[in-house]
Amino acid sequence: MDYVKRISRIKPEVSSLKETYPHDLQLYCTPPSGDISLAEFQELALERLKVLRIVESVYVQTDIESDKRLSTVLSELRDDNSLSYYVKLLQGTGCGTHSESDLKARRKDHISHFILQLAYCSSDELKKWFISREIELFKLRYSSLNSEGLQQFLKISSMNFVPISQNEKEVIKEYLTQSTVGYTDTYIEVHDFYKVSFCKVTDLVRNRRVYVHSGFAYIPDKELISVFVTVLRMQLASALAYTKRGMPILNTDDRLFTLLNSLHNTYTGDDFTISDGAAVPIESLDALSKSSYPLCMRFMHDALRAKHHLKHEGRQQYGLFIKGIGVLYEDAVRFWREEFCKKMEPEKFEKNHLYNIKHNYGKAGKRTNYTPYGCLKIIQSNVGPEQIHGCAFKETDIKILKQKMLSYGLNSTAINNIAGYVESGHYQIACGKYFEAVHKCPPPHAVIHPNVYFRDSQSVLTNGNSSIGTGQSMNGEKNEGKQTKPDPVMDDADDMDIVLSTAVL
Amino acid sequence: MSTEGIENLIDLLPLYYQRLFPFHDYYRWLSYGDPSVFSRREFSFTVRDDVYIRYRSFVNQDELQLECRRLLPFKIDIGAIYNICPKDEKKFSSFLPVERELVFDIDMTDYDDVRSCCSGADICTKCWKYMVIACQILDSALREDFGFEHLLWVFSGRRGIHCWVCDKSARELNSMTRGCVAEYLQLITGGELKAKKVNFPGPKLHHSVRRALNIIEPLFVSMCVEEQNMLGTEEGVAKFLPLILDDSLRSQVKDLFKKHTSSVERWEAFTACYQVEKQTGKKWRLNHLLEEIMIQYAYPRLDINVTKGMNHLLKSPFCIHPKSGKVSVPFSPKAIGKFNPLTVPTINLLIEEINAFDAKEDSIQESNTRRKIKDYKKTSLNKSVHVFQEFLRNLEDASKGQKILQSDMLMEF
Ligand code: SF4
Ligand SMILES: [Zn+2]
Repeated sequence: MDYVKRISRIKPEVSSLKETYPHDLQLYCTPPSGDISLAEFQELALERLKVLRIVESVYVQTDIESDKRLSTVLSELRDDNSLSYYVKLLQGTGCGTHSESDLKARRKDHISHFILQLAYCSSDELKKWFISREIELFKLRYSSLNSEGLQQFLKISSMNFVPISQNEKEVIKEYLTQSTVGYTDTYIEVHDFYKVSFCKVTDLVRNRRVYVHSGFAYIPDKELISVFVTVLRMQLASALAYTKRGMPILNTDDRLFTLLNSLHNTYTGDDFTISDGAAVPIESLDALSKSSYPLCMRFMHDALRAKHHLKHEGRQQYGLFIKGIGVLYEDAVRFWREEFCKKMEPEKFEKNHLYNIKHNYGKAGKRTNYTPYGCLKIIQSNVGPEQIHGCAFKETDIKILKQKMLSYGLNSTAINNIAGYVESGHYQIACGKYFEAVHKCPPPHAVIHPNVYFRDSQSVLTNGNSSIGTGQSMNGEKNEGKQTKPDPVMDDADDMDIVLSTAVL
Repeated sequence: MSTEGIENLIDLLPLYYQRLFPFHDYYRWLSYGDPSVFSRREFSFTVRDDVYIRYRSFVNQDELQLECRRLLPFKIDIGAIYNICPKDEKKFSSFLPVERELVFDIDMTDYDDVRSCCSGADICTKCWKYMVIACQILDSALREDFGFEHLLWVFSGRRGIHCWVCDKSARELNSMTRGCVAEYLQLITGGELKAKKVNFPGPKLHHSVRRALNIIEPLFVSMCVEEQNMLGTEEGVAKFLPLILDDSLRSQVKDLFKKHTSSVERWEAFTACYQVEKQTGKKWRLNHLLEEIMIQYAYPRLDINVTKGMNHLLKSPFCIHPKSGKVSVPFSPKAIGKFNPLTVPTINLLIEEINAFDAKEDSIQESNTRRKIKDYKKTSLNKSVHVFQEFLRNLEDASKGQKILQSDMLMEF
């Protein structure tokens, strides 16, 4: 791998973190330094992306009043346990507390922002989307600041503003009243106004919300946020342009490249973990498990069919997965009941398991609509004896894994290739290679989520754009050629660390 | 109007670039007192047979002059000032625009849905009034609201006008801020599928909108309602009614329009009905309906992409429009009311004038004692060059003032 290396690593010590992150809010002026694992890299990226999508969805709903946006976003965030640190960030009053979890949240905010910069710098459209969302997020967070938090933020950002004098205000009062949008005459009368270059408050000027004269905008105290928004916007625009120029260095890393690409390929905001297609009948699951499931899910499905049981974590992982691919609640109940009741009294099922399915579908308990687990979470999960959840590539004995793949019809070249990745701990790459061997084409997106894997598989199979749908034999030769092509050499395969160094960013 | 253009343009251009194109003043403008600024400027030429040459740059006036006389461009476009001379561009990967005048482009074709006198490339004195209004509104906004002083207004050569804001602060704006100015000035938004393109929600009307209305209001009835026959046809009424979003008012107006036939009568009926409805109905939606309508029909229609981008090319002043043969002449915004696009000199006229002048001189005096007189002064281009020179004087004075100020500040320290 060619990317630049740095020795120093972030040591999450509270005291130094407090110096780096003195405030709940930041303008992302300097990129983070140090190393993070590929796992954390992906996790942070996906989580921030989720948040930005939520923010976007709230901003596009014009029936949500602007002062209700924050609470709407917060309530959506609370539905997803993994996003709890964003709840913290969005409610941050500035510098009220600097607990360890505050600092951790700020650090995640910082790093995840810069990861998304990498994913969103490649085209103008993506840049625009990203900047707009980041600004919306920033505005929401700004609105949570208390007055001390605001003062501190002004200070940290070295912005020193002085309001215009009463005399000056008196002279232009008529214009202020006429052109300051969204404020009552009394407010304008009583509150301070600041005179700033129009370039500093482009958002306000652009929409004709303030009085503009001779190149200066006259803004009411509350609109100082606009100064920050402009600074942030410029900051992001130039940072993204700069990042883009640095991208070729990063692109030499296969894993990063596919990950970053897959991020922005799914950027449009549809939640890839939830099926957007028709309901999937449970009768088709056997066939689907063979054609389109990633191995982790196929193993669980097979185990369930064979043993008529799955332990709790497995039920969670698999249950949410089938929910994600489009199995409806009623069908899910039937599916689990039929299978479990081959070995279990129906009363016991109703008593012990029904609630859980309800829960997962948001029909009981906290009524949270749980989303399917991503690879990261699955890979990190703890798999005990007799349990079959977790990542198939990580949790399966290599010999058994090879046998399974052989029995699924993969050729030995592909199997050995995959096994190579597994042995060096690159489970998701292995999973991608598995996809490639099964579908005779690489996955359209990097494997980051079993449901994405499933959806990609379905689209490859149904669109036939990769030649599969139309008949394997016809294209056999071409695919053969592709398979034997040597893979890019992973010369540093045991190093899982992604370097987020300033040299790259 | 002919679309084939000037047949013998290629025969006329040598003389135009030899004797008439004001290279000296042109260089004064684009160098802004700094030869390096000039040398990093992108020019692009459209030469014979529509061959298009981009990223040309010239170290000085002589080089530009020679090249123009050699290539005889049908059209010259001016681009941005780059960090590196554009002609060396390919050698560097970090080739970036760094400065650019803030430019505006207003084209008559964007008014086709409101003008009925002409369409497409054609213009007449009736629809030219839209340009007059556009120039007045933009000129006042740019000066008063943004504090810009050095505005070069240029007739595009056929059916529109350009504005080059040349203040140093304007040249240095980043594209985000350019977008901000452009959108501030853009009140009309939306495409074919959106009938109502202007909305002023809320009780207030921004001072810049108010100022624009002060320019439009006195002309609106005579120009839009009468001359353009805004409500005099079925088609016009069909375009107008959807602008009234309030159902009850719209159906009232619809009925009223059946009782009247002329555009003016209908307009009066509408405004009377609207006033009553507004006062009694207490409908917030009706708040600024009249203003919205006037803005939609008469406010400048900007191609804001031209303004937003830093490296957007814009046709140079003083080049010849290849279709109309007219010169892109600068004009004074104060005198826009008197500017007649139909009498803008063509290259043919200028050359006739020069020849006639010389012949007359020759008949009076011996050719060896012929008075030394600048060629453009012999033609109707004279007035436009004067406008240009006045603009340059102000620009240079300001830059001198800036320099004095700077040296004063240095002295203080
Ligand atoms: S990488 Fe993801 S999809 Fe592939 S087996 Fe592991 S968890 Fe399942
Ligand atoms: Zn006309």
